[in-house]
Amino acid sequence: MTAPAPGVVAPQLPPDILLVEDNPLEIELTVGPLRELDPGSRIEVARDGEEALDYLFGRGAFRHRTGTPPPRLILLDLKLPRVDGLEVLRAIRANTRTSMAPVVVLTSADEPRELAQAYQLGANSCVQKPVRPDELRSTLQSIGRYWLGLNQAPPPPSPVA
Amino acid sequence: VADRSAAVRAVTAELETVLYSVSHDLRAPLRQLLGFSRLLMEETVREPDVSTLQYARRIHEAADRMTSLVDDLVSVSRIGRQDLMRRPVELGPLVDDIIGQLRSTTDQRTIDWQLEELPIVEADPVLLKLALTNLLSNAVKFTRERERATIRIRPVESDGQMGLAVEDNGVGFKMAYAGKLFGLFQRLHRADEFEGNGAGLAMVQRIAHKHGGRVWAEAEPDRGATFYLTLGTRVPEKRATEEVARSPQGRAEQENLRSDARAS
Repeated sequence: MTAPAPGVVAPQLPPDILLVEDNPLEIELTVGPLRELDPGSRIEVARDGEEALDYLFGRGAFRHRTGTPPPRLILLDLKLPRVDGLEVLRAIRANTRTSMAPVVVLTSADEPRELAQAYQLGANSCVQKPVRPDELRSTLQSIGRYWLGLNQAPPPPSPVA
Repeated sequence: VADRSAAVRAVTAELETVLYSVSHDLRAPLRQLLGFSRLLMEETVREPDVSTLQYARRIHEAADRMTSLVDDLVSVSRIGRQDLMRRPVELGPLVDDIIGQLRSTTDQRTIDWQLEELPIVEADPVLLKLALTNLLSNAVKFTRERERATIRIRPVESDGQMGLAVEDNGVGFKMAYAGKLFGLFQRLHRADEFEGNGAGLAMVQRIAHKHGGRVWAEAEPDRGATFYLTLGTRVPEKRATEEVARSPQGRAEQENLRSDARAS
């Protein structure tokens, strides 16, 4: 199963999850367990920071998305080409449309400095991505269960703009 | 001399940092190897093809093994990078606590734990616990074939430092190999005899050195091994003299200390 290309879902509907990840193998391994948890969930993938921001803000190739509410969960890898994960996070928090969107940062290190930066920039959670398949699967499914099931999504941004 | 040791420390710290980040970068490809070989195995189980399944299993096992090596590399290099947070630690309760945690692996066995009164040392509690966990779980592991295992934990003093000894009646080893004992990923047993990566004692040694202490061992094949650990805590002046008088083995131990782990 491969991840759908960004934008193939009906443009008005926000996805449940936006995964920001550049490595196609990682994408497949990340999307698999999330789909297994809920085959109906809408998962979109942005392959670098720039694409993620264009997508979220309805810019460039994603102009048709202007006005679409943000996803219920943004899964953000920190190591990204062009605009890196922390920059993406900064931009998400700086924009009124996405400032409250839940962002879970996926890391492969437990580097204290990186964690501090991510939290300072407003990450809602940081999770170390397990290496072994069973742990990876249960970690991703816990994230999905919590953020799409238990967590109350922030109210839609006030329609000022 | 001070300048030079500062330079050596800086280079070592730099190496630890490189090792740490390289190890982390290795985790993504490993995750992919494990993930896709698992998927391949699942596919093949559905549509049986014996040789494909075997190949997939081998890939998965190799990636799994490399993952645990990388995990150990990360742990070992973390010890070097981490700041030492010394505070008084009572060895007795700490050892008790670790023995309790080892219970799940010792459930089916008869182990006679002999715990003598242990001193209080100035040490980093987290690192100390890691070191003692390694020593005690080694004792548990290498006494596996004994119907009745005996593991004795007693206080020791050496070079004016306090510490402890973990003595077991397990398989032991030839002292000729003692130099290899504390090297990273060095093993004295085949993988099918005793599992492990050979990182545990390397960690113990780093922790000992970081504290200004030492770790060394005495053993005899099939008669057990004793590991000694000191952590840079000086023996109180007055007690030091009493101890020497009281310990008849003191001298013999001192002799053996010379062939200790510093070489590796």
